[in-house]
Amino acid sequence: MNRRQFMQLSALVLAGGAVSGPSLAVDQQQLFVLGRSFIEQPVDLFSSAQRKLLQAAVETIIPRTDTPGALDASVDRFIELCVAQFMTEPERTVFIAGLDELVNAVDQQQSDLITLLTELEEQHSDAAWYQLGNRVGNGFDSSAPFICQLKELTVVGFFMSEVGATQVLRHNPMPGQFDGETVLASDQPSWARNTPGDLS
Amino acid sequence: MSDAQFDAIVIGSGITGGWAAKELTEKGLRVLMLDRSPDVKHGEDYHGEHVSSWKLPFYGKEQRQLNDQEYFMSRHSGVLSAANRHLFNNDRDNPYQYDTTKPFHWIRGGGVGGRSLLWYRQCYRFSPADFNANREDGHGSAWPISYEDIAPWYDYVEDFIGVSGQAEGLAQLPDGKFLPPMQFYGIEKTVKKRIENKLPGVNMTIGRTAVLTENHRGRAACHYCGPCERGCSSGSYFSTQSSTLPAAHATGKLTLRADSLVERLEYDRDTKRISAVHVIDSKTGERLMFSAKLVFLCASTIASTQILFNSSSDDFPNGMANSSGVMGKYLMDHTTGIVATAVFLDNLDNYYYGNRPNGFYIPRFRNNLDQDGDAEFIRGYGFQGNSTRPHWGDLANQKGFGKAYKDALSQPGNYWAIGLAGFGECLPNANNRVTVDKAKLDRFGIPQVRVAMEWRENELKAREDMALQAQKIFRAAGAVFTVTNGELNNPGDGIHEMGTARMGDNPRESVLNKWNQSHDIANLFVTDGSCMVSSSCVNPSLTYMALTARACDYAVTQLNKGLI
Repeated sequence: MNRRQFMQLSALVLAGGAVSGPSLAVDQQQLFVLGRSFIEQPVDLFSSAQRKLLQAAVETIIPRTDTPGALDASVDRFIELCVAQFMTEPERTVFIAGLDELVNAVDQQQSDLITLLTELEEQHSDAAWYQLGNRVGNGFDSSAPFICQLKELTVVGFFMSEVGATQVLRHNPMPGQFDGETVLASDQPSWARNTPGDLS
Repeated sequence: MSDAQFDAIVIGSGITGGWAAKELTEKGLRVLMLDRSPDVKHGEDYHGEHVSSWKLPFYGKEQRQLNDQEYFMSRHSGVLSAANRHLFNNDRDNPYQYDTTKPFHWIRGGGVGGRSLLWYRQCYRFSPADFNANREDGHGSAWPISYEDIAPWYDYVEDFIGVSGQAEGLAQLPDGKFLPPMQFYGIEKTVKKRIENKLPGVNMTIGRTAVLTENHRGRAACHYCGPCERGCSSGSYFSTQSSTLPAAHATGKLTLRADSLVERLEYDRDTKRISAVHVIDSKTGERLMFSAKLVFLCASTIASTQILFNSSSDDFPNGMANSSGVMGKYLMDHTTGIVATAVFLDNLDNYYYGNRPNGFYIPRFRNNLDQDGDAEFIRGYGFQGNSTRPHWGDLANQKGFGKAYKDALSQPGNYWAIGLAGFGECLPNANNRVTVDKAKLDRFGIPQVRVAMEWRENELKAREDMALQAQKIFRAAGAVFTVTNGELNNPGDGIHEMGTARMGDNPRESVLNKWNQSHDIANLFVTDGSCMVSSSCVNPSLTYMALTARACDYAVTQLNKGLI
């Protein structure tokens, strides 16, 4: 994006903002135009204890293996931004309460994190989020319990990130042709998506 | 600008406005094109094109709060995102009225080029039977033209815009002038073979789409990046900006004025012509007036109807060009929505390369030659389908953590999924209508439109049949698992609204004659979806383009003869 385009969009965005657009959208649009990653913006919602636990949790869900893991992709930062800016107030309340319960449980050394997360999944196994046919897309399930919120944002924050899309999935923004019958080799990763909701 | 500056004024810059501007300028007329929205420059203003997922707000998850407040209709398009928000209408700033218990979703563009930048690009010809349907079963009024009248114009339009597709020789879906078809997925070839073997009369073809499969008229073949709706600087799909606008500009006879909202048209009783177009500059609020010999109204169905109603005068107390009283009535759309999704375990060693911006099509197979004995509805529907090899997004909603979960999500799922969306014909009904509400003014003081529309019995019965037939098709295709979805989308969600200023031979029953010319006012032509007499079940944009080109040819001929 060249400077002229940037100035044009800034003018457009600021004009919209002056009318009454939520300031959030303006900030996001500017980031988008500047060409920086979404996660390269300040956020200060969580305490250091909450952050520490979140970091451990996302790495438990998607660990570094022979490919990068959730922390390599700064998934914790993506989630903090989403909890601060994407979630509705009721969703945020659910998330923060869930996070605090985990912080306390780990503090009291009740059990290790993977056991705690597994227990949470069992407790909420009837949640609609797990039902057949549900998928992680552009929307968000407002009824999702904390554990499902956490998994969804971890997965999106990982596979849509630069690290996840280019180093774990295959990323090809300019294929140049379409072939609907290529041979699928074993262990071949999926293509990265343009948006979480893309069907293919 | 002096009155003598323009021969024609084209109101609107979307699919039909662009065509009118191209045709009229190429025939030597000096044209002023007006659009209410800000300019969108080809390439330069496609801000979201090829932007990486990690640069999008929330990595592309919906900006729900912003959409709730300002884009509550645009979001129903299914393709609104941060990457193309500037191409969409702001629904808070540009309101309209409807009964909230019977919602109508009016989904609009918000930039020059309108929805030509945002459409799904499917191009199908209406069939000879479509043009006869009203005459034969008595719903609505008769079309004043036949397939033969429009066929050469379909040829003309397809040749210019570039439509890729496969000729099939089907009476219900006439072939056109096609560029090479896009390819099927392997699973689609398997499914097609099984369906066509087991279900006589059911055919499956690749989507006919205004996306180039080879270089065409100075535009580049598709590079298969995927999200066309962000704009395409290589001009690989048809839009005003990629196709008709450059052609019109090349004549040196086009003046495009963006941010120009048409408030009303003025009628001169002595000349019996439209004598002026009154415009509000939507940025400055300045009021302007333009005149020309010809006026082409191409603002989109509902907006054109709004302009005509808001141009009432002593001569036309019920809306300009509405001596018949039918204007605003007979609003149609297509019933849409996913009808069924099925899982297949074939072609599992196939994957794909590139993002195909197109699906497959199952043309109408019900009530084709005669009414089917088991059909509780008249007319028909088609299925648009798409295939998916599941990605992490489809696989995430399961239990588990750690390496196994990560590995499972990193690779394609071990099945193919195919979804079928039904597109059902909507019967013309006088109670589905657009009016204006003089008590509800917009920010410019212009009376808002009020839209009242609901699906009626025939649409609902056809929808029930779609679910049954989709299951039958998937069974024949070898699906291991099928789910049907009974939910019908809201009127408007098809984004094929049409019919409120219909054509016809009888001036007492129609607004426009067979040339899209007002029966009442010789220098007024309306060529967007409002002219439609019936809806067929196929996507209508190609027909709008053909009718526009045809109307321009007639208008200039009449003008040159001194008859306008």
